[in-house]
Amino acid sequence: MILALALADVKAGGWFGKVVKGKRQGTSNVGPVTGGDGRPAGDATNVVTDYVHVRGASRSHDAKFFKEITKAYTTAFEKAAKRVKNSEGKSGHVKFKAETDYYPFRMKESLPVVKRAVAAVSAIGATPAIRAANGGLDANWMVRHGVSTVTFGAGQNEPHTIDEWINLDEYDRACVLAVQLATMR
Amino acid sequence: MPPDAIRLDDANTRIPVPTETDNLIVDLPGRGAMHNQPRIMFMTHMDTVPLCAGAKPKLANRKIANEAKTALGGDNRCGCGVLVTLAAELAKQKLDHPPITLLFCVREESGLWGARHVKTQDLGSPVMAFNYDGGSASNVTIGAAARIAGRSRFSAVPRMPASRRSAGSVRL
Repeated sequence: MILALALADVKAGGWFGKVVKGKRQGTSNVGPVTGGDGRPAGDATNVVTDYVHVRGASRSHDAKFFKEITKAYTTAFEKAAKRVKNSEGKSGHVKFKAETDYYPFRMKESLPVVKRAVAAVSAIGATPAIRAANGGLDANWMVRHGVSTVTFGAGQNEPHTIDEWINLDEYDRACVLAVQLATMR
Repeated sequence: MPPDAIRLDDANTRIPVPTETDNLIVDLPGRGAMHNQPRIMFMTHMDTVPLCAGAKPKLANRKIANEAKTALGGDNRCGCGVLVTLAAELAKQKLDHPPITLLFCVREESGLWGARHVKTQDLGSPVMAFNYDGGSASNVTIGAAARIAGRSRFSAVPRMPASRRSAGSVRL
């Protein structure tokens, strides 16, 4: 019941699914809902379901906004827990844990790693295209660890789908590029 | 090469989801005129999405397609292929190069866990790194900020007070 009220509140506030608040955009979703440790939520129809574990995620390109979305969930769950009382008038409670999976990053084009990357791509006869990725990369963490990291493609196409295919020309170029990056002075 | 030039770290003890192995780290000593230049790193991830289980790769016209209705796992077997090819070519052609670290990360797909929990001192503190994960080799990706900047996962545990756990129905 706490879960139902909380999610109804989140939805009513416009914080579920695609979230648009003025110019800021993000997404959120909920699930899985379990009893924790792989158990179902609830044991039987004649036993009060006193414990539910629900997980979800919020995302945004705005480094503050995804935290704001998460905050809407925290508030909704806390409010809902106060509203649901047992026959003795005691209300439920909620334990809420939020963890940031990765942080955005943008390196300066003047960094040695970017200069070396651009020079190497040109040296193998290609045209470097400086860009930012849409999703998270291992580079997000390496940069946070203090190691400037440029990411290149290696021939993947339509990954995570049943239409995935590999472009071997691009793969070969990635191999030639790696040798160039490793050996250029 | 000394035996510990190819080793696994202990990232898996810090990753909160089940992880079969650790990050694989390989040290290539520098060679020739560049042997004592600062260390650089090449990295990729070695996990794939579960959707690629049962893939039947088929090679046709410089393209690897799939005969099964699954993903292929080119994300990121392609990256692993690039790093292994690099090591092989440097050795085969006896090319001069600085000290190099190769890093094969675990658990990228489920939340960038391997890279998150690697220790930079285990990598020999490289001054820069080149990551292979994506489509075009000419794409110089210097940020991850265009659409998805961050993600927060949350879990909530609503719990009813323990005093009244029975719904009051008749015990059968």
